[in-house]
Amino acid sequence: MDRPTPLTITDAAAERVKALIAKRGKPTAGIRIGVRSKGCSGMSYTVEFADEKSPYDETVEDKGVTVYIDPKATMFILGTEMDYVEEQMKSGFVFRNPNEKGRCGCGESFHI
Amino acid sequence: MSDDLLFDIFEPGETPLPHADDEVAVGIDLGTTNSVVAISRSGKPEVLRDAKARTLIPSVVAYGLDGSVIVGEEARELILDRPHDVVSSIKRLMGRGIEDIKAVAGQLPFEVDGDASGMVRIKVAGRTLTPVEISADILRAVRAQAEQALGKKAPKAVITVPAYFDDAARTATKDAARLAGIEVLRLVNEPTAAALAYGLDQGAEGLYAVYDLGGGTFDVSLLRMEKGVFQVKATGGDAALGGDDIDHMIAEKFLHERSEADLNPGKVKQALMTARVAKECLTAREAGEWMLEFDGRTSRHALTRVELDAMIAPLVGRTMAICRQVLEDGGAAPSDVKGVVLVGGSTRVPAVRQAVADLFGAMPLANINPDEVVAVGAAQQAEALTVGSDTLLLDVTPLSLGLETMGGIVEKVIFRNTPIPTAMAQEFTTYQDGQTAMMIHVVQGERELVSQNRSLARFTLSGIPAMAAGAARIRVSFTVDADGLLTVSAREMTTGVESQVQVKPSYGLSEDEMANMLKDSMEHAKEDMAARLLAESKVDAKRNALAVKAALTHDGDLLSKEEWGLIDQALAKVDAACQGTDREAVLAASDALELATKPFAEKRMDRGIRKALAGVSMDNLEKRVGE
Amino acid sequence: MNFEAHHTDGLEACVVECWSCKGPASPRALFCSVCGAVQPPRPLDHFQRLGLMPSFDIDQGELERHYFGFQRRLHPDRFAAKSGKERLNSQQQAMALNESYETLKDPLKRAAYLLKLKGKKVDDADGATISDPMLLMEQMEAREALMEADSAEQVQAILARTESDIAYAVDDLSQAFQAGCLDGAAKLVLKMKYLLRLSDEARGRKARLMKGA
Repeated sequence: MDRPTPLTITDAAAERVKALIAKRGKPTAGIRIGVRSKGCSGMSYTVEFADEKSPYDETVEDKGVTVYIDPKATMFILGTEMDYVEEQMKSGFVFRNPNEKGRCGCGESFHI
Repeated sequence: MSDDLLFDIFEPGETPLPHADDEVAVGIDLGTTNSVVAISRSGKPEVLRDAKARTLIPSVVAYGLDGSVIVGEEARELILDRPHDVVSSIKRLMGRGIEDIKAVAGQLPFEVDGDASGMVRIKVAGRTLTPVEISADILRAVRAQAEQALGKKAPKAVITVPAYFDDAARTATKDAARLAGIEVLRLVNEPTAAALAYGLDQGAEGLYAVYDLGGGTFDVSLLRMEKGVFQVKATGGDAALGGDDIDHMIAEKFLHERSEADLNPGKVKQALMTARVAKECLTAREAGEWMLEFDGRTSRHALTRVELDAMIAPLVGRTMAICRQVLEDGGAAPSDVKGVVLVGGSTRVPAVRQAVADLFGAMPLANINPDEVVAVGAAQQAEALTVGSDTLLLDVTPLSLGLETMGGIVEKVIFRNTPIPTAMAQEFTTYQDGQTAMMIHVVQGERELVSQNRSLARFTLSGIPAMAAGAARIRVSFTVDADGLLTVSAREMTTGVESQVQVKPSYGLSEDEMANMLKDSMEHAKEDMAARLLAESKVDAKRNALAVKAALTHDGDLLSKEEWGLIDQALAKVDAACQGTDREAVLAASDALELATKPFAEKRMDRGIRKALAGVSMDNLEKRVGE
Repeated sequence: MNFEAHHTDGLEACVVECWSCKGPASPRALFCSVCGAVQPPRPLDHFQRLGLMPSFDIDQGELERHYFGFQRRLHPDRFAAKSGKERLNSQQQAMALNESYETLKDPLKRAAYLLKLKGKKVDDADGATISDPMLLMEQMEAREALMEADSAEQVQAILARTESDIAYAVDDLSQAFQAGCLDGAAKLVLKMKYLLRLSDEARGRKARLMKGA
């Protein structure tokens, strides 16, 4: 079985990322996915604009979007798909993550 | 709709911490007699209760010689047994200097340190404490009650202060909160908070007055309420007038009747407590008789409603004069006022209600509990500041702010009833050739002479280039922020030389003192720390249990009956431990739950990966992992 | 005309940089159209700031609606959870709005400000000199009457007269501005300052007399 690519991006997500970068109005290298070790079950994702690539970041380019992945985040988001959803009450990016086994009650953190 | 966690893209390093909803912002009414804490969620306010379902936390602190601190009803019960160790009505001394209170020191039920410079210090249980530290102890207890009731951390709060509190007292309140580890979202004036609660509850529109007679302070505010805007038109009051004064009058009468020569704090406190009981009784009854018993001697004291009314007539008259002044400042006649909201326990006194009704020509409104309405408004403002809201509070400065000029005359820079936040500047000049420094004295109050007003701060602007007298242009800027706190800076304009000084109130704490107190509070408050750790571990344990329960409903089919039973047992143990006060037990139960769910977690992961790699349609996968 | 030059000071023509995203922003914008960050207050006159036509005759209801509307968006309570810079900008915006509102809601302050905008100097009421002999005479007589009044009723009568004089002065100011007569308006502003001071003193004296009674 092939090693899954670290991250895939849906059309909707790619379009939204591009729009947000354009709206940001300053030079942007891409977006960066990190993990912060705070939160109820120990870890939580962060998604931020990246002004530049950090030395150890893994780079994924898909549908014209550059995503840097913090080495600490790589193992957690391995094989996930980044999508953008817009619903009546909320909108945002989702990571569909088959690695994920438990969520905290609030859904904001995860652990493996 | 899916329950997927949605992400936004943030600027580098600015992703907010998760679990903001584990932390709540509350509203705290830090009162002279009682404190109250409330929360508002989705626009629904709720006053928080302690384990015995009480909402009022007496603002009374008992200090033990062993360093222990007891706050609330339990401390109030100790007043008679340990009069030297118990402090009440500390709010009356917030932001006060020793000079301010010498006149009233004899009436105060505690011993004041006469040597202290700057802020007043109280001698209690072998320690010397500032009003800020004592208020911080009250706030810690208030916060603990909120966290206990909510099962969540409450590190942020809107705290109310009397509208008529001066800058020093406001700063002291903020310092007390900082000492108690509470981030103050906003200081809100008590009558404004009450109007917010009342207006939102009753949908009131038009011009309203709030008459707030608390234990130690009196405020009256005139507000216009219109489509969610609460605009304070004028405010006035007396920061040293309240129900305590009624107690003092009655106590004095009783002690006088007893011909008590040898007074001590214990006797004064007992007389005050009896006086309070008498006052409260006479709101419902026409007459009564009370007993004082100490030194083995019992005396009986009769008092009628009519006598009490006559005794307090001057006090009520003072509040009425202030009401008339506020009406005039607001450019309104009593008949323009659509309703009067009563706030504070002392508004239960019938003579007070009657006087308010007579002045405004209408029976006042008291359909929200006058003890709780301020905390409710504070909670609603806390929600507005953290979650957002359509309502808007536009408040004013209660007192004029100015500078001392030649001859001890006050030059006002910001006039009372100016909407805040506000910034004003005034230019001054040097009066001597070659003058390189200028003394700047900031005062607060309405009188003409500096000596008749409250001195807030003094500082020297130095480094003015030598010039002929009158050539320098010194611009002194006053800024009052939305908390009503003042910052003063001064700058020489002609040369562009800038000298700015931030002002700390004369009766405030220095940064060093604050730093030391923060350190002390860390060292002394081990008990406090233990309580917080317990609360935190309970929050964590409950959250883990919730996560497991959620997982069971979705993937419970992966488990055998035996496995499920083990997890259920572990869950029950967590619930039981969370009912108790043993932090170790909570942690152990939580760990046991984690151990018990480990095989379950592995099965869930296997299922997740299998499904993902088997190319399940996105919709199904979303349902699977998106809980 | 001086006033026109002041009022359209070229703000519309230029573009400023948003402090947050460095993108171009309109100098009138309260929020950056790109990143949404609240902007610091720009140098606008009080009428511009509250979105009103510069005139002495303003609709109080409209003034309040605009003031509340701007405060709803800009008040620091809306930015309690935002960054320090945004909080500071909102505080300054709210301060500027309060200053504009306080100036425009009061007829005397509004008139004096309008004259200043039009480049017209008003005699300083704090100075000892009154150049208008008629005004001087009137004021001296009124003051004497106030000093001599020794009952609350007498003071009340003077107060009522002064207040009606103030109301007439406001009407006269409106006509003077409509007629473009700035000299007349300046004289009326000075007159109003004296009338207001007189009514303040009468009120104080009345309160003292009532307390004494």
